Amino acid sequence: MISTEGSKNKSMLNDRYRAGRRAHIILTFALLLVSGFSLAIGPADVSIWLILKKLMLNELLTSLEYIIIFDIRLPRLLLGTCVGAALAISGAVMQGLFRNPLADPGLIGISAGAGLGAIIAIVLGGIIPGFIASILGNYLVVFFAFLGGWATTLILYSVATRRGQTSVATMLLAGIALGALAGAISGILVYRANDQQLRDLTFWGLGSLAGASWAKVTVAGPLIGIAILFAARLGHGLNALALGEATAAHIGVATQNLKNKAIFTVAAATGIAVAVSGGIGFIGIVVPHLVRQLIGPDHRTLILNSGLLGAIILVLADVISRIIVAPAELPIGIITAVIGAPVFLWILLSNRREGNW
Amino acid sequence: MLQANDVSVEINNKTILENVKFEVPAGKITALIGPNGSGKSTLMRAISSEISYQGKILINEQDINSMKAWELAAIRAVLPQNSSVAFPFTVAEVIHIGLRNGTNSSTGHLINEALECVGLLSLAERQYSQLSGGEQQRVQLARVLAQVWSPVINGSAKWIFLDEPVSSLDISFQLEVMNLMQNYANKGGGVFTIMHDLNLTAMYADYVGVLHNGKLLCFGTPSEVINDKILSEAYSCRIKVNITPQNDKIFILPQATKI
Amino acid sequence: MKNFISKRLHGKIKGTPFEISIFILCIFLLSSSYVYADSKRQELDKVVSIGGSITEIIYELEEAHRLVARDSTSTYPRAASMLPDVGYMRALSPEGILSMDPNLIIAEEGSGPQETIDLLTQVSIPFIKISDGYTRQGIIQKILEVGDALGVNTKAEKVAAKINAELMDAESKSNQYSGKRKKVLFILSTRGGKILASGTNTAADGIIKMAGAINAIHSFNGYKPLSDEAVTVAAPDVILMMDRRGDHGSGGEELFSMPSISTTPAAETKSLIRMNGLYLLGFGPRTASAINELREELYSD
Repeated sequence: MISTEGSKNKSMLNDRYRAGRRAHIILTFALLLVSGFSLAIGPADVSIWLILKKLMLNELLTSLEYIIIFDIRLPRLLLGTCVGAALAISGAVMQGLFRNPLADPGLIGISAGAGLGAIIAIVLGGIIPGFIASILGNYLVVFFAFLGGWATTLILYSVATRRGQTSVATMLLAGIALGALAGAISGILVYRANDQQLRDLTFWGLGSLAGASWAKVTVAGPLIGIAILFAARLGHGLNALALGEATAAHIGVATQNLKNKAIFTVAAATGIAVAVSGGIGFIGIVVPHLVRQLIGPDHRTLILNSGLLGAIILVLADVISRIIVAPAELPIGIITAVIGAPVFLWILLSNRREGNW
Repeated sequence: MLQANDVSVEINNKTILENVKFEVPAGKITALIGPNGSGKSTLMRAISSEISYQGKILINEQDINSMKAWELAAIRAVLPQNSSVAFPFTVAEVIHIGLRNGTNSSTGHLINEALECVGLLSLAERQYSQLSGGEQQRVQLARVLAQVWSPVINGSAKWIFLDEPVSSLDISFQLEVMNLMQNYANKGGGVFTIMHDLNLTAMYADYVGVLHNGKLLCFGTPSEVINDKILSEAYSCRIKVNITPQNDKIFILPQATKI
Repeated sequence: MKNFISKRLHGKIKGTPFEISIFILCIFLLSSSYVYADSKRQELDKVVSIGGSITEIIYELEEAHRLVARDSTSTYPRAASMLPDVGYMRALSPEGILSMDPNLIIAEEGSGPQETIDLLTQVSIPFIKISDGYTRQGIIQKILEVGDALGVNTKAEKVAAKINAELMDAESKSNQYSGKRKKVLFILSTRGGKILASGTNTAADGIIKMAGAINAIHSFNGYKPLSDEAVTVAAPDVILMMDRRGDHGSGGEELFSMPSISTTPAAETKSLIRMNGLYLLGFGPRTASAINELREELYSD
């Protein structure tokens, strides 16, 4: 009697975990599907089937076809995949670290710092020494945004870490203060900005994959890839953290090590994601939560699944941004906000109903 | 063997524990009693490697300071006073997290047995955060038991540290939990627990330590320690230790007035 | 080449028919190469125009039938706003423009981002940037450059000459105004209670001067937020703003009730002028008329 009930329970225990693993495969297929979709759809009149045929028959593509698929849509697809995955995974890790489903990567000061870096590059661009500016060229803003994100994370981390112990609560509060400071400095710089720079800033803030280029992909891709590999291995540690920091230590998790890895993987992934695509919101909060609702909170599968789903959603949002007001483009941040805000509200309301918090 | 040598803890220039020294053998239940503020929790936190301290604490003759988190987890499990779990994990998942091994068939078996011990096998798939406080406490106990399931391995004892394990439980479950602890100790494991209830302490403890103002007032068998004089001094109120006529059990009652 | 030949023929103008024929042939060849280049450019019939004033000039040159798309700032004439919109001129997206299958892009200075321009030139689509300038010469230069890009230089010269005359006329009328010059404060926006005003080196500054008035602000370049004190010190006689869509002549009650503005001479006389943004600041074919209109509003009461 007991053994049958036992084995039933044992298999149910594995159910959510196995469902999570199955989801890896399903989501990967979905991502491939969506990617094909994204390459085939766009305002330009280019037939993907024709191009595939040409490629298979070893025929030459017209320069227009080549540019549209290989220089515009493909880097955009790859960047969207990387950025979507980076933001969603960072959100999942942050939520695990702060033990709160409302946490998002911005909490460790990255967005504030990246935004400040971008403002500095846009407004003070002329003051930056010539040789630096010429090396970076169009990527001045990207570089500074990345630097800014890292600078704030490092500051926050050192403020919140005493005698080798990081207090996430302190990090949260210090992050608010630092965000206010960054906002103030931004305000001063915005004062110095001329009309054109202000518009550039607004567009940067709304986020866009339009500036996707192979250069950006080759910089962002590997960095995000490495960060994802690190993040995926934080699963067990974050599960343990959910039981409380003290308990996590008691069951053998090196908690400070875990926190370090979490914070700096998120800093790397989000830092570069925000740097190359501006401020795209809601992916970090909404995607991990969707996965948690559908599959369960086990971080061992949550992190990777969030990454896959984040990539899928961002690529789809990009397709929408490219065709909804063609030939113009809607900044992708607007689309993620329009989709994300109602979903976020639904999350809040359903959680209150369930009495989770 | 659990040994504390001149353990002192100072927090914010205030001395919480002063030169606590005792030795506890495995295979027995040792209870730590004392009024609130006497430093019981602090001592427990020191033993659980949560805070830093002066002096030496040894488990199975190994200095816990020199051991890594996972090495300690292999030889001792800690039951906290209460714990909430973030995110909608199920009961079975909560216990599973506490196990260091990956998912395999023996793990699942272990989880079920642990749940069986605390009588909660039927709640295995329920969401932990939706259980009552008492049920949650029992799940935590199951987790702790699962972590150090075999009380003795290769002649080396495993330990369970508990911080007021029965405070939020119904009286029937209180006895169940204490029986579980006794079972564990009888098989060779070590049990070190903070107790609030003096009667239960008298019923189950093999050794008792009394903390008062950060100092270990005395340490010994119940017959040595549980008497009117020591208890009254520790708790600053008149306490009378009695024996039930029917079955020679000790029962302790406070007298109404304070000294 | 022409000079070379005419020097040679200087003394021989009465020369042989042979030499005259050669002379005529050379001139014919030269002008045909000029015309040939023109006609190559004229073949470019799928033009994307970026920048409100550029689009206006193209319409003025009667070459608008060659347009296939425009940017979001190209709102005049109405026909232009019916063309597909490729987005904001500083945030162009390459695929959108490419989907129009253009063979020429004419863009105002400041269009971008650079990555988009690079991509478009990679596909060998000519991307011609037209220089900006907040003066009469600037406008003429624009017209000539656009004309050149479209391969209609002769037409452009005619149009430029006409516009030049209109502008000179407008400017001289402004110069001839004998009354006291008014101080004008151009306010870009009052959003959030901040007064974003124009200093020197802007389109607003240019048009104010051409209309025979004085920019109340001369202490900084570009558009900056003004402190309350600065507004009082500037003491403008008139406030000039762009009109909001559909909001023509909404009285400036809200504006004049702002504490800093309420102390100005403009508030005393409730002098507020609102004009369409592209019309007023575009520096294109309609600028002469904008100058006249602004001057009338300023000085005829």
